[in-house]
Amino acid sequence: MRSWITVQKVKAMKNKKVAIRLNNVSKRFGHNPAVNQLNLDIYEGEFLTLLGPSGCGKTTLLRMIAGLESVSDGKIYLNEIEVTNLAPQKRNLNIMFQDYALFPHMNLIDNVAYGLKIAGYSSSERRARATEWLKKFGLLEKAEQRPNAISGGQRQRVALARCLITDPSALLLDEPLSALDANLRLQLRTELRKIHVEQGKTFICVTHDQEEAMALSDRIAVLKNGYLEQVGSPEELYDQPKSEFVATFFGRSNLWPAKISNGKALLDDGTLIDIAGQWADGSKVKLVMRPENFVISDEKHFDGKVTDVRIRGALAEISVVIFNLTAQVEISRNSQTVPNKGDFIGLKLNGPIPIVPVP
Amino acid sequence: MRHVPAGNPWQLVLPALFLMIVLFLSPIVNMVGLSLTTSQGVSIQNYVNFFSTSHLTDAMMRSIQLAGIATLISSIISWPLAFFLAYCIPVQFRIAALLLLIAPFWTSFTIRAFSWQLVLSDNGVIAASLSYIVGEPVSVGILYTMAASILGLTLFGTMLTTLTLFGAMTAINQNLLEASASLGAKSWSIFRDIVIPLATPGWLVGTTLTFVICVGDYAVPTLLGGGLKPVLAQLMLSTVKGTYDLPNAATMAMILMFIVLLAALPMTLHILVLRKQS
Amino acid sequence: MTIFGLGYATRLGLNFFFSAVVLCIYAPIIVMIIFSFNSGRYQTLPFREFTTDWYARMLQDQNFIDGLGNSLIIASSVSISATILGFLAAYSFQKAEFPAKPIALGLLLAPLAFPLILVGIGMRLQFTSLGVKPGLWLVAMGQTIYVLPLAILNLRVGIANVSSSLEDAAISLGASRIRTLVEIIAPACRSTIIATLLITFTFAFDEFIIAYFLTNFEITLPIKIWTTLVTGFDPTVNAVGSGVFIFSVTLGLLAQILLFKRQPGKFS
Repeated sequence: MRSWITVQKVKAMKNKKVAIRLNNVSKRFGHNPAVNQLNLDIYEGEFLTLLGPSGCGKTTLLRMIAGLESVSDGKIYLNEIEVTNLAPQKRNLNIMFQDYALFPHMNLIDNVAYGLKIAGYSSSERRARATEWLKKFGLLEKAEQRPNAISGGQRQRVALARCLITDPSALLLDEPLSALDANLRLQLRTELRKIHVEQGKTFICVTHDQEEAMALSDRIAVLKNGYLEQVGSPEELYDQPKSEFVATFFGRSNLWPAKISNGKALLDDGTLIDIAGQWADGSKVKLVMRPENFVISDEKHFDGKVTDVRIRGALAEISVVIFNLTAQVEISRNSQTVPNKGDFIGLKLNGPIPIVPVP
Repeated sequence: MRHVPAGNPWQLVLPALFLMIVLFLSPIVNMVGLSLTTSQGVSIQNYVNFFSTSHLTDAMMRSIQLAGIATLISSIISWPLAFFLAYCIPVQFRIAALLLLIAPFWTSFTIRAFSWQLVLSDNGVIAASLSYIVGEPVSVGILYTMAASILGLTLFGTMLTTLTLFGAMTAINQNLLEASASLGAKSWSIFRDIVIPLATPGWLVGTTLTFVICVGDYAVPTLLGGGLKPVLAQLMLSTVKGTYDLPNAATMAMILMFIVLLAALPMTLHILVLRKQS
Repeated sequence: MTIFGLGYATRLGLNFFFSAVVLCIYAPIIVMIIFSFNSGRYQTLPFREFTTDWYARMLQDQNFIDGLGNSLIIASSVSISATILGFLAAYSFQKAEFPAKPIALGLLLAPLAFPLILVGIGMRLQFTSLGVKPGLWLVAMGQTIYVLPLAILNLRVGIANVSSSLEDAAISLGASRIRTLVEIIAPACRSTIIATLLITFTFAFDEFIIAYFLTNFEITLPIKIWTTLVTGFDPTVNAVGSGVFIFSVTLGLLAQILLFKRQPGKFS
């Protein structure tokens, strides 16, 4: 499925039709800035996730796109038409909330059909189309029940159906999985991804969970304190983080201070390491070394002493002290012998290492 | 005003506000005007007259005294009642017990005052029971006295203050009490150091409302206190419906309003101080 | 409750005190109800014979029927208009931003801390000077002012309990603000609205002093009771009082139970 998705994604990128354009968008609450001069193009048909810790402005941004929050500065375009001050009712965007916001006093059919009712469809047509959607989502036999009679996962599907039935130009999702328990979350993640592919619509999602963002998205926009840190595909963000924040947000990494010397990174002990990208000599940087970048080998970059070994199924996590630094190393138990605590080992680095500037 | 795409529905307050201005604020302004109207034009003569007429000032003092005593007594006895409801009754019966105490709150003053007549009058239940015991007619002599009025108003005030005090007590975070108990605080110190300060705003609201409602009440002083020693409310009504001396009625109303504003001062100050602290 | 480790005596004392106060509150009303079934013409012991004559007489009294009818009409219109106005105002206070918000709120809640008699006399004097004759419609307006603060306070809590995402969801699906209010928010805080209707109805139904000030000869039920009480005693008052007491208390209790039970309009 992944490969097929990639094909879809490449197709979408090739078209490069911008569905939503954010142009220098800022938001201030009183004097507190929540979003700062943010520029972002969201392409038609892509699944874009706004990712960041709480308070980074991601939900505010989503609400501004939906028109539920005013924009302090800058402009928002929807299909190349400016909508900055357009009422939310007039934007063809639907938003799915964290708590799903199903109307507690209506049964599932009426919930799903609500958008059609507002659009003025006849009662029989509303019913027919809502029934179709419930059928598609396997909820037909619950059609006459109230939202509080169904499970969390079913609620999510009802909320999705309610948003999709009016054929919006994009679907906005505010923390779509956080109301669910861990097992269900994994299952619905896949389902959400599937629905996105089937519908071919632009999905804009907000989450604080990097794993969720990676699993769902074509592209991820990482936000920090109201600023856009980096936007790119999950691979790009993991392999080529542009800042320490992005590097630590995605997965674990050993961040080692270094200095650039002749296009390589020079560590304090004199080791030179191949790096990705071009950097000016003398810049102070940090190496982003993922635990899986290390290999135990005699063709080594470093010597180190093993201080701890933890087995994680097929993997082993090893803490190694190398001169004055500690490295968290991850090796596959199938392909490599796991050392013991107290052993001295040689460590080799795989491939060019990404580098982030020291702020 | 900031433009919000989703709209800022402030206009929805306007119908209620309009009604309140026309039917509440404007009559008050009108009364201020009327009370300053005399045959010689604008002057404070009506107020001078009021304060130099002893049966008017007597009525004012009676109103204050009546409401003051009823408020005082009810504000004291509502403490043990609210405490009992909030801390001594199993949780599942708490609301039922509260409702038992305050249910008659929903019915009219008039009917409750009248029912006391049946008990207190010289041939009422108390008198009849006493004479049955003693064996000869007994005169109780409570009905149509200030004591009877105070009794009626006190019971009302007790319901009201217990309700607000109970609300404040149950709003106190249970962990606070448990924390101080675990620190070794004795029951009395927990009550004094935590419950009393945190419940005081609720208590002040209850006592202030009690005073405000009692000082302007008409039914209880008439049905239980009798008409011989009238309170301000009774004089206001007889002036409006009897003598049609409207400036005079307005003057009495303004004086009553002034008393009410003065009585609400402690509550207002307390709330302002609390707001500043937080 | 183990926090206040009260001694047996204190506990007993509090129980006793509570019971005594409850007795004081109910005893006279129970006496009234008993007398309403007593055949004796005088309100004194001993009890004569059981009779329902006073209730029969009450229903034959045209003044009573008129007063009851007027009171039901007035109280219904008061409770409906106060609930609608209060709902709109409470929603606006909850969701909107405007400069004079605290002042507007203060004005709308002011009648709560005002003696009723001032509302009555104020309106009477105002409308007399405008040349408007007192009448039942003025009574309804005056009582609306009096119950409006209660309605606003109740409904504010009710609206605050409705998750704001419900409203946002409806708006993003294209519903207008008013439509959202009617179709989403009002049903989501239905129990608060019903409780508010009941409470405002009871208060208006039993309200005497505003009605007395704003009428000349028209009769509401409390005015009818009052005139019976002050102009020569008639034992039917026991029957009327008992009926009104039970009716009002039932409505008031129902409202309170709804308020205590109200659930936020969101899922747990």
